[in-house]
Amino acid sequence: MTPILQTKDLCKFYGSGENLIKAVDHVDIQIMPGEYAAIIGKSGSGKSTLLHLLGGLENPTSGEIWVDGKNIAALSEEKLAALRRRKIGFIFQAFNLIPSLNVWENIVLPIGLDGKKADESFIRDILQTLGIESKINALPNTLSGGQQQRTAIARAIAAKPSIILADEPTGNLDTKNSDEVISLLKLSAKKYGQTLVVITHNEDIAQMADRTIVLEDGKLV
Amino acid sequence: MKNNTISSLAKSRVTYNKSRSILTVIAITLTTTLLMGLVTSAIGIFDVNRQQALANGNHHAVISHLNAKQIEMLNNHLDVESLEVSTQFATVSYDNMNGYLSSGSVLKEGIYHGIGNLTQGHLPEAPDEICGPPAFFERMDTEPVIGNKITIPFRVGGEGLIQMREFTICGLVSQRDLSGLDISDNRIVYSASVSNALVEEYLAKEELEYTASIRLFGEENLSEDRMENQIKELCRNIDCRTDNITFNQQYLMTILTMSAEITAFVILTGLIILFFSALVIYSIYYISVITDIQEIGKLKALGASKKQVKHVLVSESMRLCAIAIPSGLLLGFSIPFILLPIFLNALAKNSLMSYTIEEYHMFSLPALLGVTLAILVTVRLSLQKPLRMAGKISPIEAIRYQESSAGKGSRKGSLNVSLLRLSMANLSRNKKRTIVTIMTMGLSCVLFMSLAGTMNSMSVMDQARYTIPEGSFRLALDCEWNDKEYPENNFDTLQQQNLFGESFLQRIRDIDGVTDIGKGGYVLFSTDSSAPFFENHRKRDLAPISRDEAESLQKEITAGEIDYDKMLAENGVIFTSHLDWEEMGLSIGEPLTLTIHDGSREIPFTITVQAVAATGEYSYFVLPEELWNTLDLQFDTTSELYISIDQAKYEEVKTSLQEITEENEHFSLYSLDEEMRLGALSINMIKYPLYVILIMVAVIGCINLINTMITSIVTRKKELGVLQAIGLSDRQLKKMLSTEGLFFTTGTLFLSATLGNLFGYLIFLYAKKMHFMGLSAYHFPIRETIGLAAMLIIGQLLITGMMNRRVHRESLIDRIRSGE
Repeated sequence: MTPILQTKDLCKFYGSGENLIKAVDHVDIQIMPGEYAAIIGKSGSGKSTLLHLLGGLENPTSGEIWVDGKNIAALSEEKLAALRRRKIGFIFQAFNLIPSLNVWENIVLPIGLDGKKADESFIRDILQTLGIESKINALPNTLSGGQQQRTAIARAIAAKPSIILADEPTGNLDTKNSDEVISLLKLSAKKYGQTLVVITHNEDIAQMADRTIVLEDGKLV
Repeated sequence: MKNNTISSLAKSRVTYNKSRSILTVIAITLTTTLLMGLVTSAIGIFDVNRQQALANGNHHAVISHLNAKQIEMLNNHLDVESLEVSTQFATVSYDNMNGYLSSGSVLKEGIYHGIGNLTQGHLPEAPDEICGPPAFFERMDTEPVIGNKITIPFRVGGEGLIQMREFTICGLVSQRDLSGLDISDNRIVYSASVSNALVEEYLAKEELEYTASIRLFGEENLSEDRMENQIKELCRNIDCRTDNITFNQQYLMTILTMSAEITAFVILTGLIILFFSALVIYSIYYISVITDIQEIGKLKALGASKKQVKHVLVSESMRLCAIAIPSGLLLGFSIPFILLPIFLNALAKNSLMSYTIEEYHMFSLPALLGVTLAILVTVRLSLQKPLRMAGKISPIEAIRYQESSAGKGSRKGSLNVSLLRLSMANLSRNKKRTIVTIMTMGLSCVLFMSLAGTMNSMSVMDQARYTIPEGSFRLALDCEWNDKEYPENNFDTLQQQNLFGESFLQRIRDIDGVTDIGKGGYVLFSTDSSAPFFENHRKRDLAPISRDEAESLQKEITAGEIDYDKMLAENGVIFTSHLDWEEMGLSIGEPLTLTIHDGSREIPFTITVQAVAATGEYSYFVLPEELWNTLDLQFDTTSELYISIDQAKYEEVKTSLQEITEENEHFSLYSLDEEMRLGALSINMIKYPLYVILIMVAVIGCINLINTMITSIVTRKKELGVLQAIGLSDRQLKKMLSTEGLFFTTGTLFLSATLGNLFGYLIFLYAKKMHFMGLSAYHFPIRETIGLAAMLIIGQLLITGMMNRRVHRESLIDRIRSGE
């Protein structure tokens, strides 16, 4: 089986000379389709940078990033954007919903940006799975943290991407909500056959993963 | 918090919100520039007019046809402040020259002449001495040097035998520089003065007829109307007819009326400018308070009082004023200071009413202080609402606030989200901000379009057509209607000479290049009516009108109605000068008995006025041509010829016509090129300064758009980052921002195209009614509309481009993380 996500000798450096920060330092990882991988490490270990590189939000200093058989380091901005909305679903710690759009619109947004029509029954199914089907007309600022993150998860899944990248998805939630959200995330990833990469500080979440990737000072441990 | 803490906070806010500060400074600077420029130009223009008015003399009126006794009475009259008399002693009979010899004396000092002041030598004392402007002597082919001899053929009182006499030039007086003017020589009057001693050689004192220039006491307390009435009253006192008065209109208008009108114009325009800039400053601060709610909330959480928060904002704006006002004052003063003289000199070179201004006085300290105060008050007033809003922000909101939290919690969305929907969702998030932005931009553009319609209708051709209704030249009879002393100048007398007879017309037709000759004319009539309009048995004119022309007058009707057939049946006429209708003392349908003066014949005729129209294009009274034909007029009623030509031979025809015109002092030639040049000048004089003001107002409006767009991007920095993270491409981002901007642009364009053109048409109708700048046909401002649309769209694209670059200044990750 070929890995869906793969990095070869991946580096991301910031600054220069004495101020050179090696955020990601010669990292080689492979993640198989359908796998649930957790990236853990201390603050400043380069976890987020790695995730951003995997999602094409940042350009690497050197090395290769293969997403579903394509080296994205060589893609133009335009193609990267298309890749992000088709292949990758992002979930952020701060939810990052668009405040002027309601729940439904936030969820179908990546599909709309791709110029496609939303698969309505599929979305309704996701909403039901996540338990927010009654909130479709609500604006984000009226939702609780847990509801906002569920909406963000639905948004990440809606375009049927093959990969979901989550950056501390439970960082802003209490324990009860955390557990629920992460189980839902895992459940839906499984249900829709998606690869899940989660950055976390939470030991419990890390233990649920198929594989744990540990970073320290930008290097794999 | 101490006060210096507040001012240092305000200072740091100014530098922190750099783009907002810059925009505010630009808005205030532009407003100050506009206002200062307006006031400075007004002061300059008034001063130029004052100088020009003074150049024609500071007398209030000239009264002609006075005898020695009446002069004596004037001299003793209590109202008269200054008095100068002159007598036109003889006409010069030299080579078709329009020349006069006169003599004069000062009875009461105080009248100042701009030209005709002694520059060399002395005034004539001995009978053979003469003094005049150099042009007079040059026209008579003599070098204008003191001591030179000149032989002048003249006719005393313009009649009798031609006398020849040798004079010695004893003095030279200043003259107007006419070298830059391209006008026919017969439109220039040459005059020189001779001594009283000479006059008395030929005429007895009782035979002399005087012309008096007078000034009355109390000029500063009188309006133009009251001054004129007082002079008329004075005339009646000395038993002189009021139609012998020629008011020094330019002086009276400038000194008594214009100052009031200019002040009113400046105040009105100033208020409009201030209103727009107040809107812009208000909306910049309004948006700034909305965006800074968290910061203001934090200040409050730290213990700042309501008053202190307000103080921070006021102090911030005053800091910006401290930069903006002085620069605006400087710009606003220097631009007109440099441009106005250039502009007026160009005008003076081409215009008949010219006078070269040596020195321009435009600086006025009270004006400068007034402008400063007006701006400060405007800024302070526009801050009022944002300040109140800022004062109401509670510390809790610092943490809780999200921009869309105001209002409802849900939104009826749509099944699918497109880019357009995304843009619209953002616009509707803060409807008030969107509306304020469109309104400020829209209003300034509406103002632009409203005036563009009228200005565009000030067509040079229309204006020239006012003087020359058809063809390229108008050869008109220069005549009087009511000259009792010189009846030979009156139209009915001239008619008897058959000046426009067939042989004369043939001569014109024979000029190579003339293709057609049209005629216009009228007859004079008098009436026994005692109405002021016919005072002193004044004659008025009557002309024929065709059914079509009558039909086209329908639109201009102000009273009565035009029914051509009814007019035919009842000897109906249309009175075309609605402003004089009241002076007629007549009601619609009332009969009026006239005596028509057909050359030497008199024809009794009774008319009824059936309608009153507001048009300056016809004779006072017009009647159907069928009725006109029944009058059976024996003499030629032609008063002017309209000459159409082959345009390729314009110059040659003009030269030939000028030669023909010079043969008879009663002929005047008007040529299309001269009229168009004069028309263009007078139109441009109004058009360009107005456009400059309008464009600057539009720029102020655009600043508001820039501010709205910048704010919307700054506050959505994170949101835009997230959108990009979930797949919004650069191109889509640009498109989204353009759509948002385009919404403002289309809104603005829509407002200007609808309201702007509607107001434009209404203003045009009003201006036309007031006979402003010879407006006649409405020309839809197509070029202006396209220009405005282009300017808006290009400006919009530039702003969007700028915004897009600004977004990319930070990396995507930094943007997503901001605020975390």
